[in-house]
Amino acid sequence: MSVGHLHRRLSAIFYADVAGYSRLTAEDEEGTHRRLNASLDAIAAAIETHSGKVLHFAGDAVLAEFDSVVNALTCAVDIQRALKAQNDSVPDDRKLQFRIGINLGDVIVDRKEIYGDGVNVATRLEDLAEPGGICISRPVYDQVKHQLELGYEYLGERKVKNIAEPVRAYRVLLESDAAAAPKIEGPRPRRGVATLPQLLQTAPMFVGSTQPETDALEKVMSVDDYADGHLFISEGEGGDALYVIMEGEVLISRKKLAGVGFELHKKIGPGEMFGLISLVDSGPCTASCRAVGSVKAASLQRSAFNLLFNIDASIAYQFQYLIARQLAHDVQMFNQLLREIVLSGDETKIYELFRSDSVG
Amino acid sequence: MSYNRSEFKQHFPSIAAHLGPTGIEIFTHALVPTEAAAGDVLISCGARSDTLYLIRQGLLAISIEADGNKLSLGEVGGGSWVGEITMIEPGSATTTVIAKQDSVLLALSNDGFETLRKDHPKVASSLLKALSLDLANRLRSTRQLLIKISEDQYFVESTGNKKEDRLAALGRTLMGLSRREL
Repeated sequence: MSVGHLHRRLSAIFYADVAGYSRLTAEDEEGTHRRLNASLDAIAAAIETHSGKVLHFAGDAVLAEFDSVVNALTCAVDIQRALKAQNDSVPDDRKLQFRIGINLGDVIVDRKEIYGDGVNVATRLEDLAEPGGICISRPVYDQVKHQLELGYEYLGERKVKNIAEPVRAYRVLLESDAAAAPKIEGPRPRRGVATLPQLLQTAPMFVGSTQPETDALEKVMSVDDYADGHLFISEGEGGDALYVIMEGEVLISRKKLAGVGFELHKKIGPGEMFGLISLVDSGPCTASCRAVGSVKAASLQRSAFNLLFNIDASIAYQFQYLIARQLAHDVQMFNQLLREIVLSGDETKIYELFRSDSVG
Repeated sequence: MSYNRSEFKQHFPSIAAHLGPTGIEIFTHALVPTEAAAGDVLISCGARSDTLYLIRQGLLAISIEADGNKLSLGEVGGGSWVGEITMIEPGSATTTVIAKQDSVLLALSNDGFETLRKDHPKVASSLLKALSLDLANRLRSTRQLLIKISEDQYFVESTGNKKEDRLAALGRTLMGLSRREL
């Protein structure tokens, strides 16, 4: 194709891949690969049945193209229903579940492949889908909303990597979801994900807080989406905010200790927090905290916390108490283990201190 | 025994800095003057404890005890404090504190603290802020020491790598003794 005369067309772009594929492979390489092959064959067959075209497979992912968004979404729904039926008898930790993203976009066609932002957006929508779920963009939604008897849930404007404009995303509600929730339009928090006020009222560290207190806190906290791999806190560097996870997982890790062979490696999820000590001072953090997959989290900057404190807001006092209590608990836990070591003479227990240590 | 503001500031500068002049006034009123004779046990490892003791004068010895085994951590004197952990969160004490000399203390029990929280929330919070800063530093130093111990460099060089020394160093760091002892 010569420069200035690229072949373009409007396509419904379908992108699917397996949720947690690396974990599944690590646990059972051959079995996972066999099941992946069977699923990819079934997906390819469904795409063909719905007049779509598989452009390529990349590991556990499939990129396909349809002339019709209705066909693309019907195909995706059929695939998810079939895979769900297959997965029903499989234990949760061994389920092979696909996430599917669908976008409608103007793409460049070259060497039997498609290129461009339209494709990137489809892969990002796939990231936003839940395992076993489907996520579509606004242009797809506009085409299918009156055509297909499905429920749709607006997820809001989502910033996606390498795409300038935020993408308006919709989650497709399948069977049980659709029965539980009527068709919804307009902004609404994603189901299964607590809003910040809900989180502030139910997360363990905020239990006992009153409504005005959580309201004040909500005003100074900021909710943001973070991409896979985002480094919230870096070991050895000063932290400046407390984070409360709303959605997704964060990996807490520490450098491997010489001679011990032990590495702290712990995942935390919704409702849990990290960076507490950062609210008290700016000394070096003792662990790194990194997003595993996309993460939504509320953050409270030390400066905002100090501001709350100085304007005499009672929530700041409540918070200060929670911080003191957590620190007291950590010191108590260290002391208790030292006491056990004194009692047993077993010094290897020192390393238990690392294992059970909460990361401030 | 009355306790004036400038004396408090002089003895406990890190707490005073957070309380401010009015806060010091309120806080010192909430403290209960207490005397301990040499040998008195103020806090006993394993027993329930809920009181913070600020040391105005004297000397207290801190140790970790378990079934007759004892690990001495060190001594603290005027300007230091003990018992803040269980004042914040009452429960079993994990260290033993014994008066080594006749001592003059200022006590604040958890009940006293709760009253302070209710009547003067900002003063109570400022106290917690000062105590938290100290706790955070102690925890951080303890974690750093654990890393040093695990790398097995520190003790080979400095103490010949004896187990008791390692444990005592951890306990001292945890209690903040490396900075606050006499």
